[in-house]
Amino acid sequence: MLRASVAPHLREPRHPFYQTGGVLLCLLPLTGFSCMYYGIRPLLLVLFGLLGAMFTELLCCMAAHRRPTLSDGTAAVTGALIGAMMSPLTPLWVPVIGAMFAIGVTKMPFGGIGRNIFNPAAAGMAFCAICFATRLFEYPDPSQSEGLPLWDTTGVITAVSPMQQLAGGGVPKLDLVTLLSGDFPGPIGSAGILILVASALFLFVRRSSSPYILVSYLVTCAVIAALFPRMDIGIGMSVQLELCTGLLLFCGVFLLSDPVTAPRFWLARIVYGVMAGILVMVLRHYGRFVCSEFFAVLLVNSFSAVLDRTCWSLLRRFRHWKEVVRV
Amino acid sequence: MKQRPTVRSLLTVLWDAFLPRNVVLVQAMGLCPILAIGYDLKYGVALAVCTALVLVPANVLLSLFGEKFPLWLRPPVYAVFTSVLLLGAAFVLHQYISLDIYAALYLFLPLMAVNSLFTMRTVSVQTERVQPLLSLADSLGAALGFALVLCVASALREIAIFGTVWDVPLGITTHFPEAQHPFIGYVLLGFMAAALQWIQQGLRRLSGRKGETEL
Repeated sequence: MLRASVAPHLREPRHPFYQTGGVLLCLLPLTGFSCMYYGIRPLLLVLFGLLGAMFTELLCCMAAHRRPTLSDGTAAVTGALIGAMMSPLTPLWVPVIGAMFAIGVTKMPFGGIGRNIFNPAAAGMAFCAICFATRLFEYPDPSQSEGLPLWDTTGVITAVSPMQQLAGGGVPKLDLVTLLSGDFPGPIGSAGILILVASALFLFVRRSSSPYILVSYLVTCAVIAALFPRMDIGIGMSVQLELCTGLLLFCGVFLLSDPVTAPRFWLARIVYGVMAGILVMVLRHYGRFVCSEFFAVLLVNSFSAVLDRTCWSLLRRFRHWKEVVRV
Repeated sequence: MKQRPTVRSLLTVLWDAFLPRNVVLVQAMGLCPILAIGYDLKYGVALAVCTALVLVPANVLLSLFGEKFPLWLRPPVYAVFTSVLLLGAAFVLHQYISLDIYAALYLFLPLMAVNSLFTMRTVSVQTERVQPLLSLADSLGAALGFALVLCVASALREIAIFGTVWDVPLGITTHFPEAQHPFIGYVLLGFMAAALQWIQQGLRRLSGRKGETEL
């Protein structure tokens, strides 16, 4: 008997919360790590995003006279991801607005879970970046702040992030230990590099995300960083800085591998990762924003279906040609 | 010999071009000026009037004389013709209406001459509706449909950006200046297109029920 699974998992017999719960579990230590440096504020930002997304999804379901789909956890993941991509200094209403845009414009109008073309979290973050750029890319110094104030952050001294330094022609003086410990100004989700790597492995083991995408994406970024370093800092340092700062790794682990918007076919996934890597590095070199990885995610999302079709057709032709040659 | 169109058929054509086949929300034409300049109701109304002043005579005249040109020559002829009409509209706007509005639309009025809204409509006049009266009804409906969408989008964005409608304050203290970005216009048009489909679905359902009761 043919058993249809809940979208987006064509062959996944488990409830979607198995996948989304894993992502939420990964975000928990990541946010906790950021809380070590900045106090409770990062957790509040993530929570506000999460609640904003769930509330919007509930409203959309009510408007469409549909049963609420909150139990699948996708809205919670979207909101939490948006909160985790913010700066710890961002006003608390910004992730709520981003989450509302993500669910109300990018996800629900397309039909809800499993039917959206673009990653809702990336779209929500792009919306916030365009509309509230000044509030989004100001980062506090983790070594100086002893817990940020919860509401009014106007008096907090900001620091220049390594991404801003690289974009402005400066050379960040960060060794590998500092990069791995996250002791530098940046978004909430970019602090714990080791946690991000562990999260990626955890999601691979649970088969929630594809290693093809992440590996091809990271390799492409590393190769471009080695071949075209933004400053005269040596190949090794350029690769380290590009991979460990900003939202490059975060987007690779959580946004690019989203099973709804990523391609299904293995070869398409590799090409997708390579395209995302190239776009991320191009935007880093020539883009307007300090963190623009989510724009790259949105751009490659639009190629998913085409890549699936083209790569499958190419591989089929190649196999056919091989058989003809063998005969 | 061609039959003279009835009033009913003219109204059907006008209504069809106004909402069910709306040039912006259904055919996705003429988006650029709405996204770029449709954030102030005054600009919206001015642009809508200019569009109507160009689209209607262009369609009617081309339905009368368009067939005299060979097929390959028609697109440049349309572009030149609409440019001449737009020049006239721009002159009236500049001299007699408002210099501020002219300054705001200065860049977009010349670009309208090659907008898909004009080129596609005029080509459709040649291929579908040759009769001048039908062409008049069709272009009037299209111009009204364009004006409706442009004015609604402009008014909503003006409320969001400045908290005013036609410079009259509405007492809204929270403003959203980012609504001036073209991508917000895209999102708004997307929702308006969905709303139009929803209204049409409702109308179809209503007309279906009416038919049932009549039976």
